[in-house]
Amino acid sequence: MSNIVILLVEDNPRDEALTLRALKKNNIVNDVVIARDGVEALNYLFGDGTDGNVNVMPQLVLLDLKLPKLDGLQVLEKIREDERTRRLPVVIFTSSNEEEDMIKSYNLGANSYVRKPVDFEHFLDATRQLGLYWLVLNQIAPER
Amino acid sequence: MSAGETPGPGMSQPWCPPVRRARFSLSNLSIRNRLTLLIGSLIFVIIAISIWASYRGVKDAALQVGRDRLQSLTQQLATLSQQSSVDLLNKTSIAANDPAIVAFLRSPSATTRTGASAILQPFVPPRDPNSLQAELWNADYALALVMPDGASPQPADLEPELKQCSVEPFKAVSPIRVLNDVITYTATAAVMDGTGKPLGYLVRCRRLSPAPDARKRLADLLGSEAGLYYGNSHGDVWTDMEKAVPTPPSGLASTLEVTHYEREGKSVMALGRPIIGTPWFIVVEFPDHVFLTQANTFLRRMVLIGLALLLLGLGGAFALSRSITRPLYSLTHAASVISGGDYSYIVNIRRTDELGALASAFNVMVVKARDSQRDLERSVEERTAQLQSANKELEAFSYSVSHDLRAPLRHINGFSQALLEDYGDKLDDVGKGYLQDVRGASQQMGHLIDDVLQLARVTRSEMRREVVNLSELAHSVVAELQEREVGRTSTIYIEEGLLTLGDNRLLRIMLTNLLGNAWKFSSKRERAEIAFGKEHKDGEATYFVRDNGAGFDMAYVDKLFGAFQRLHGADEFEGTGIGLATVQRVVRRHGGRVWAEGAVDHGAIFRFTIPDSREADNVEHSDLAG
Repeated sequence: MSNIVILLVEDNPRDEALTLRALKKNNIVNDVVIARDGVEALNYLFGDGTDGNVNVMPQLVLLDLKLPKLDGLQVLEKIREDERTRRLPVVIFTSSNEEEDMIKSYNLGANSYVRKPVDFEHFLDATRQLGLYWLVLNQIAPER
Repeated sequence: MSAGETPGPGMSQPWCPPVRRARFSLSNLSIRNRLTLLIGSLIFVIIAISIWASYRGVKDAALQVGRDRLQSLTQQLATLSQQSSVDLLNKTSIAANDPAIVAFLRSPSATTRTGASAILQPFVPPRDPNSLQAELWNADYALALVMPDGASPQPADLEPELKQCSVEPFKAVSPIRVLNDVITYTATAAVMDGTGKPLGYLVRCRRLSPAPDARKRLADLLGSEAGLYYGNSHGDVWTDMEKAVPTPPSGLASTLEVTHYEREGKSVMALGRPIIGTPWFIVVEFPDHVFLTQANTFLRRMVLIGLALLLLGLGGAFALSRSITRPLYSLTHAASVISGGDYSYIVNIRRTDELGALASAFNVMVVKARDSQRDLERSVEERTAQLQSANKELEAFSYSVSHDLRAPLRHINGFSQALLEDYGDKLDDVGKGYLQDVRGASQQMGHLIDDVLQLARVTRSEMRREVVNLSELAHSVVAELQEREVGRTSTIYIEEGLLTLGDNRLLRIMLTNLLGNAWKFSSKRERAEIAFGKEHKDGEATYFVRDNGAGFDMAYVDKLFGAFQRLHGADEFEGTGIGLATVQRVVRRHGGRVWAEGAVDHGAIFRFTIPDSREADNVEHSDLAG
């Protein structure tokens, strides 16, 4: 299972720490790749291998919206534009429940929109359900 | 539609026979036509009256001329006739007293007869062409001699005349007689015996017919259309000197005034006058038209002139009313153009009268209206721009709050939890309690942020009006509430089929808050009772949400709908104090009102109205449903 990668796009180190903690507490032990901004996220996904590695395509992208450089919606747009990542499950995982954000996200092809609860218990629960659904229950489209 | 047009009949009902045109009435006419008609009628009346008056004047003058002429003519003719009768009688009298006549009457014999005949010769044809015969009568009224020889004595009874001549002045002219269709008269003179007694009488029997030259003189005097009549004063015979004619109207002979009557269908005027010294009467008659021709010509000329004046007047009136109404039309046109939004339109009427003043006042008004319209538009634009920028700022603020304010709370909460889990053994219970408080506070802050954002959103989001089923919304909200607290026992009544017109999302937020409150504040009851329904009060549909919960003190009812206002402590009931403020905003955005009644520990009832143009339909539906 460890080769199943989660790409966590999150600029805030505290959120990153809490998310990792929550994943761990829920026994989600997959590799978690962290991208601290939109550009990093795209580099990971579409890296041309100049650094010698062709990255493993993640099974799930947890995408924050407010990001430095390229924001979450722009990253999502690029992901959906590219043939390689067109069907990649992307879950928007963010603080806001602004209607505008939700509509734009779904319009750009987000698979889910999950708001990060303030309370950590709820946060844990949300993370657990996300992991269970997207990493266990959900079947991803075969690569072609 | 311009003022001159009238709407066509029955346009909306082509299958009907055309509606009868509106009855003609002055008020249906345009001012232009009305004014023309009015001025035209006025001119017509004035012209007609003046023509009539002047015609009457001319006619009266002409008739007066006729009367004067009649007077002088009858006077002249009567005098002439009188002179000739005197002349005639004198000649007769002289002949009668000729010695030969006297001798014959004293002793009629062949000799004296021859002498008398010779004297009488000039009084019979051929020497006197108008004479029929001459007769000598003796004092015993017996015929003694008739000339010319062999003529039969004239048949009339001469005795009264002979008797008349037996006294002064011993001569007389007889009344006119018609004998064998001949108009005749006699002139009689007594033959005196020298002692003052009549010896006999000379009777000259003559035809009443003027000689041709006299006739011509008369015609010259009278004119061709005049009639001249002779008659007897007592009126038994009337003649035009050729034949007998009908008697003129009675009264003519007695009044000596000009009399008007009809003869052969023609209106005539006539005047009669007795001929002194005779029993005769003379009448001169003129057809009125002889004198009225000029008056009639005058009338015709006046009518022609009047018609011309009328036409001119009508033209003038039309031009005048056009000159008045044309500016009105152009003002009307201008007003419609300007009300269509084209403020650049200028009424072009250059006049110095009231209409010119009206037009320039109109133009000034348009300029003023245009300016104030522009000012208004400009200030609306400015205000809109300000509002838009304020709204943008508010949105940016909300967005940023939504994203950035919650994150630290999450971190506070999350790391407090982490602290509890990872280092719980190094903290005593008080320390752990503090950390729980930190977590609780962050959670509360999260709710506050959410509620404030919702309040802001309710205020600024766009309204979409659609038919909303409040009953369904209430069911769905209650289902969520029940799901959150599965263990609670509650009785929840929701009236079915409550439809209204509004924004579905906002109404849902409102019901979530109201039913959420009811649910929250009745949580300490053994059995919560919550009802949502509709009542009709004073003709207004009022919705209500009622619960049997903690209620509130009516003394604080004013604070109920203020943001951040709470009537219960946080230890009693959780809450942010924003829910009812949000409810009020939603209701107000729908144009409705919300108010509450309650009593401590006796529950609360919240009522609100949502004005709905389909209200009447609603009542029917709910009646049917009920």
